[in-house]
Amino acid sequence: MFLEQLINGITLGSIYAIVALGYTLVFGVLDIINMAHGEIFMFGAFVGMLIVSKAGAPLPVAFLGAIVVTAAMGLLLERFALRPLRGRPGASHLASLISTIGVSILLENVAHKIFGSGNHLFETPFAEISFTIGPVTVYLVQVVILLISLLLMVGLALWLSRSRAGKALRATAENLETAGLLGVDTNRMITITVVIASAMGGVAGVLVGMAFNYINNQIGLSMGLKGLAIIIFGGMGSVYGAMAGGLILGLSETFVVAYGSSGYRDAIAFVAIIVILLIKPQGLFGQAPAEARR
Amino acid sequence: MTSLLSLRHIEKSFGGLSALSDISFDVRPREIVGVIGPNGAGKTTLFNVVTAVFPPTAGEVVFDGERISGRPPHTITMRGITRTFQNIRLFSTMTVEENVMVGRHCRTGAGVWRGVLRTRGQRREEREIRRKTRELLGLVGLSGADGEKAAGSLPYGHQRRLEIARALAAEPRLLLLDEPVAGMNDAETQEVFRLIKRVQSMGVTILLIEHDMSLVMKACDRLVVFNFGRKIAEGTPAEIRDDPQVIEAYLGAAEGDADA
Amino acid sequence: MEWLNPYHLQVASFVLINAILGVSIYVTLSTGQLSLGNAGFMSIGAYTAALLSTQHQVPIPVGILAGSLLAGAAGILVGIPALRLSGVYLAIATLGFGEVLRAVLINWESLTGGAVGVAAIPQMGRVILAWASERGFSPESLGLQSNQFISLTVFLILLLCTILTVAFFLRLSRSRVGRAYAAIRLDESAAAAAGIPITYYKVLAFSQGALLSGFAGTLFAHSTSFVSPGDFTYHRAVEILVFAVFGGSEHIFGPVFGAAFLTVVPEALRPISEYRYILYGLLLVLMMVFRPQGVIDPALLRRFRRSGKRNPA
Repeated sequence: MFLEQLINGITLGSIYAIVALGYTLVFGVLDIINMAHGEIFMFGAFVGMLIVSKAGAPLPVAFLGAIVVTAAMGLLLERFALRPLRGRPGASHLASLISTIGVSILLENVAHKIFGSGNHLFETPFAEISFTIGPVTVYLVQVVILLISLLLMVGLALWLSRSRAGKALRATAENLETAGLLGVDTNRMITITVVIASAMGGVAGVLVGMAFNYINNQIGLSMGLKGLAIIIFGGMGSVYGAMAGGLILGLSETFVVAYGSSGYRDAIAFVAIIVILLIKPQGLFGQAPAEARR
Repeated sequence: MTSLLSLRHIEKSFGGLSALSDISFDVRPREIVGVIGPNGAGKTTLFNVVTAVFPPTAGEVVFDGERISGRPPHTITMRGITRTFQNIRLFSTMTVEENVMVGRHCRTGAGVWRGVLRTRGQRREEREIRRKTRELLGLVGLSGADGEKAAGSLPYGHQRRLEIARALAAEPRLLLLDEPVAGMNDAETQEVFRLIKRVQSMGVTILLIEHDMSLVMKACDRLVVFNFGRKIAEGTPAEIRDDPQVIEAYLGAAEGDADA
Repeated sequence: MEWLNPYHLQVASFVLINAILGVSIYVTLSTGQLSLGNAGFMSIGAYTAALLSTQHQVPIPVGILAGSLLAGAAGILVGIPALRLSGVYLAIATLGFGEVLRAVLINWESLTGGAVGVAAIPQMGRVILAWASERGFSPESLGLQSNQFISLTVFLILLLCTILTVAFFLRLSRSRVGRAYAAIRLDESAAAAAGIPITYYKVLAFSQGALLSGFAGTLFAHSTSFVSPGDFTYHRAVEILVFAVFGGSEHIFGPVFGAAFLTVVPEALRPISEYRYILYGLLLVLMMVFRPQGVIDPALLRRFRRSGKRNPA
């Protein structure tokens, strides 16, 4: 059913968009890719799962729990794996990349130790509820996911453009040094950014649990790499690029699985990366790199 | 005398910002031409266009009768133009000798297999590279004892000289020096002046960006004056010194150069 | 010779394959390019050798050559577009390449056998034993059991390969090409201005790294006798990265040391091996914070050499 696949695609795409926004925020401010973002997302999903399935608490508590835990993880990540690298003269962006790869491997295997490698059930209380509009069946879960995602995206966009903290963040993203000279507490801004980005990953984790009903410790890797694909495709540091890219990926994957071969679903993201890097390396919405002036 | 380097209506803009407008002048063989002007006038940008760090937005660079604008940077070097940088770009963790040896790259040819198997020809080439390197280090006034030191560990003045040695290793016909005596005291500046004259006597043509007016007046055969990306004057040092436009440009930019 | 334990020899053999893999990422890194796709190139070598020997009865040395060259050719194909990318973008694109390749390996079942992989690949040691036995040789004449002989043979072949690889690239690093690589890594613009053709050398280094990974892959196939897509995941790519990052990314002995240390220690300290990847993760972070150049760096080597000269024991 085309329309139903469309809804599936948009739902999936909106979750992808949120994950991608997490990457984009950090890249915009720090100029680095946080390779541990996917694993933080996964921990969000597991915390949500524990709260909903094991403790039987209502869904909003799951969101709260996931947000708290992933925000804390973001805080620790920034403080111990990123900040020490910042003051270093000649410290390359590669160093931060490698450091966050280290954190991601650490988290993935810690999760493996704690949760094992099998699937865990994520029970959404209202998973069965659906309503039919004409020929289409829509699930309440999908609507909730879509609403939450939209809320988050709009909220973020508004916060970035209207609030003082949001503007300070954009200033820091634009030029770290200048923002500092203008009185912005850049360290705090950076910490806030990483914390917010991680918390968004946490929310996305709970949403994924709701969408798929099963989670395992591999989803971090898979989502992490896809999130990367999205921001490269959409343009690193571009908020609209993350949203558009997420949507496009969600739709492409859904339709490829529905009408094509499911085995290649995960490869789409990477093919997209490779293609876009060859044609327009700065991504759909990215800006052309300034010519080197020396 | 035909010109060695010919700049014809060079334009360069970055985005909307125009850095160079309608720059035209010639450099004749064995000349030392000085490029002077206030900071931000576009002098280094001009060097970058000549050495193909980026292509000009319009106009042509012609070297020895051949159009070189738009070609990859290493081919410019192979054709005989090398440079030093305004803010010293040595390979700081490589040794002093290695820096100069890298400069010799385009005049040598040992590839992967000859390098690994150390054929007789390759070993001969390496010996020749080392010999030439030591010769150049001596020419610029660096002692052989410094050879094994990390380039970044040298005192500032020596680093500038090392950069010149590296640029000379490629046997250039045209050498572009970007502020070679910036930050140096009078004694060091004198030594560099003598070095520049020695290089000129070896048959190398020199294009020189500098703010140190005493050096510029002594060393250069002709001067080209830049301001806001345009050429505002061209002539001998004596002519330029008295040119009202040049005086205004410098006074207007509040340059504090006492011996102008 | 009862002390010649096949298990120890196997571990040693893995050390050697890992050392070659470590050198493969080091070679591209020496021009400033971080490629996380070497697991992919390794799989090209491994599968080529595996399929040629199992389905077409191609002799092992030919399969090794073919696998390595094919991986190297793939390296050129990937390396050329990769020139437009640098740093982070390059690392991720190469990672993506590895993942796409793995998806192909899993899905193209008619060619690769899918997720199940390729089994019964001729094992180097066994093939040599069989060949020697046909000519009347028996391992007992050397005081060895069959399995000891097999493990020992594989180990010796891999040792030779590793020594040749390290010697090759050590020599290269001290030559004109090696200087070009180092210059490109330190300052690409200045290197171009000094007359070095950047494109040529970056692609060259990239394909050399790919070829080495493929070579390691062929050796892997012919020593473990079985390959599957699961051998070439993102984890393998990260593992290779850790060898170079931990061991040392500024000198060729670095990844060799890293591979040796990180292969042997989890085997020797059994309790640790469960936490192997957690350890890798911690090591990456700690190294970047405290000693980004890795354990073995040129300064350390110079100190060894100087103390060696002072105390000629």
